[in-house]
Amino acid sequence: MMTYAGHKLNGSPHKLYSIDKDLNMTIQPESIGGTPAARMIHDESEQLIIGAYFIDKTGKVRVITPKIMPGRITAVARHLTDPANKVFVYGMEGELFEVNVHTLAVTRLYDDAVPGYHGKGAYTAQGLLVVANNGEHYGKGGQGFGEHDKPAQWVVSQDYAVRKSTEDRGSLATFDGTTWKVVERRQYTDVTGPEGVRPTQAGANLPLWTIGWDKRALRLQVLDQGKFHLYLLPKAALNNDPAHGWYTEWPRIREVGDGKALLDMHGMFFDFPLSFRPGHTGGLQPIGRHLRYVPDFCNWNGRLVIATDEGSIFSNPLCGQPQSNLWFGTYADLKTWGEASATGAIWVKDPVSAGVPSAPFLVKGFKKRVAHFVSDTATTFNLEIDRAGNDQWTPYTTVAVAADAYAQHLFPADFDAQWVRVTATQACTASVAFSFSDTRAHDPKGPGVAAFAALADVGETAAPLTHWLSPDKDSRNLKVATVKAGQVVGENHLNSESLLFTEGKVGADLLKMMKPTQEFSVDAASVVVKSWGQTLRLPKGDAAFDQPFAEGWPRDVREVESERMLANIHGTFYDVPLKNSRDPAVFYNMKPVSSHRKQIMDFCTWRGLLLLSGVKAGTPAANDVFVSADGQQALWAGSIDDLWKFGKPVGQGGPWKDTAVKAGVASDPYLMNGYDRKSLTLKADRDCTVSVELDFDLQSGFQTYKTFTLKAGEALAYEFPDGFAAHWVRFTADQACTATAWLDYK
Amino acid sequence: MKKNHRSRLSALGLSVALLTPNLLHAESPPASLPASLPALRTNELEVTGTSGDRFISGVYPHLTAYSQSLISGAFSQNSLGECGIGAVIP
Repeated sequence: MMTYAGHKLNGSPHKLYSIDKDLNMTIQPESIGGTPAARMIHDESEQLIIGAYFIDKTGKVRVITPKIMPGRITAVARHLTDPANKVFVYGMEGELFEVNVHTLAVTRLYDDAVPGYHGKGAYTAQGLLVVANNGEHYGKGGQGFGEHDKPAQWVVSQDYAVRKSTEDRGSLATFDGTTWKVVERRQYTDVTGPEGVRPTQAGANLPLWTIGWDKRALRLQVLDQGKFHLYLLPKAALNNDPAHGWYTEWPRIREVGDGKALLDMHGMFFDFPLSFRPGHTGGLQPIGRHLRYVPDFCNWNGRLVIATDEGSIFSNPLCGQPQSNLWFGTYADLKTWGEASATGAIWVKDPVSAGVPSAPFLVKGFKKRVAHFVSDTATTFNLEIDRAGNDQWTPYTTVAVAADAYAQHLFPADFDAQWVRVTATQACTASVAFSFSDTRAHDPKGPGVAAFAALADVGETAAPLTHWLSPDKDSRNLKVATVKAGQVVGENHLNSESLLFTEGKVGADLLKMMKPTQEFSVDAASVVVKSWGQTLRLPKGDAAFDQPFAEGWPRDVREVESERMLANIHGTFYDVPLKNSRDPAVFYNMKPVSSHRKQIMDFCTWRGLLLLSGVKAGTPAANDVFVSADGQQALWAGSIDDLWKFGKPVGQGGPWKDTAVKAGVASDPYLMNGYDRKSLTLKADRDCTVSVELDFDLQSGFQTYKTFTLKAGEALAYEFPDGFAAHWVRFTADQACTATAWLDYK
Repeated sequence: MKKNHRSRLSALGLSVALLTPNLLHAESPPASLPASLPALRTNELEVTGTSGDRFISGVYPHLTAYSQSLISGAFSQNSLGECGIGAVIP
């Protein structure tokens, strides 16, 4: 394996590693660092090419130094005309090299052939080199191009330098050895094929797959018989979305043994059939969400090994020093992580032509499904399905939508199809989106929660051992501050090698940074979060979370995987995306992970582990519970995706609780995304109508779902249909009143 | 592949043995934990390899990769930013 720095074209202290069957890890002396992620086995010369390292079958390592081939080496692909002796090497700046695999002679072919400034995948098939670029670099004021992408270097039309919209970001492009063509001006990452990291000449005409995204959905393109075919998939998380492309790393499609392959994108693993091509798309389906930030994965000695980008310091002063580790497990383990919950759209306020079917949208494998429709023109949307992925489309249902109105379709529980596509009968500007979830959410009273038995529940009279945590920047240790009644009463280290507590200082400056600050408040109605000028409301957990713990307020927001935030607010963990490093998290794009009743004072990742503070005093040491000899320090240890075991997100609250409401003024948005069963109680002190408004895609604006007529002083109860979902809900009354809008999520 | 072995850290005046628990004033591990402790292989200034068998929820802590492989672990180069694992391959 090899590690990478952020944006280093000319090397860095990062390393090439080898790990033997007994898990002894050796840092290769040939290491040159940089920002590499390329890997391919060159079939004819029997060499592994990983970054700029060429390793033969005896283990001999040769390296092309940055002086000869500077760049962030992101992909290696078979050569178009001399594949037995040469490879293409693709850099993140968009540069393309040709390398002789025997002599390591390097020829720089192009500086930056196509738009985009964040090169990712490259692969050769069907006589084409296909490259992906997932980022856009803007000039001052968000206009033009920044220094990292120079249209003058492109060898495609300069028309691409005039963006048609803000959606023109990155690119998917082809090179036939002479001519470059832009397939799409959208953000793409991995490019690969059925032979994966070991392509051969025999497979030169196999299909090629590439995965990207836009504001609507994931975009899976298949090159087959020289033509690209588009398929749309929903997104499980929105961390990866920003235009700069920094937050995706290297999502991959890769074989993982037993004939299985995984597709990883936007926080979800999918089963990906290695036979995937037009007419043979059956079997692509979600496995589940994950929190780990995954740049690569593989099968090794029968184990699934997942690489990580865990700790970076771009926006995380409590990271100490950049670090990452591997995770070892099985394919089956992935099904014990997050549920298959995702959202995506075919159209987002897009012009839609009458009678033209959309691209196929994945519906297979999600247990609960709802489709949302909005149009500026009265129209009917015809839904067709491909049941088996054989490109045989049959009518499924129709949904009529009035002009500027909202409609939805709830798929029945026994609905089964691989793809759905949509056709409008009238030309219109429309949004059509999907919210998917499943029934596999962990039972909050199930056996998974036993993993956290060492952590104190809220309401336990004896205060747990509480610590603030920060990996050290001057050693490999973890710095641990012991806190009582909000005051630091002890400083220790957790030793990196022995995993035992030792003497050690934390330091006054770090202690100031470690002290948790509150990002949220609580009122009678709900949890309240201010984010990017918005007031957002979240469900409450146990009432005990209204107040600080006996030892002080717990940590609520922290970066524990690189470049994305994890929040622990009022008994629920949330995945909260960033927009830019050093900017605050974007709570409007948040999604719950799991809910709990634990007194978790702090949480962090360190040496690949997730550490939770809040262990009950007197808990004996165990493999996953570190306890000092005097019993004054203790931490729970696991891995980041253990958090799913706490159980599905639950909570209660609302935007109004006996609130003075103005007529026609909408409430604050209240989070609905990611919760399972939902019920609503409405009450007002005078007769009025209250509309329930939904934001289902974060882009089409709030839409009226239902309007309820209330009698003064009488509560009205409403149960949302099983499977119903949207991202945010808000309420508007037609009369000034004192009102309650209360949602119970179970 | 160069074979490394434990050695004294003359430049830092430290010993690899410093990382064993008895010299770090560490408490004894509970009896239920693996008896073997991880080992660092080093040259004079840098870690060149690690070994270990402690396994916690899918993670072997000794396989952690850092931006700096210095013995001290000291991290002073903010420009390095991150240490992602870019590729794994059998």
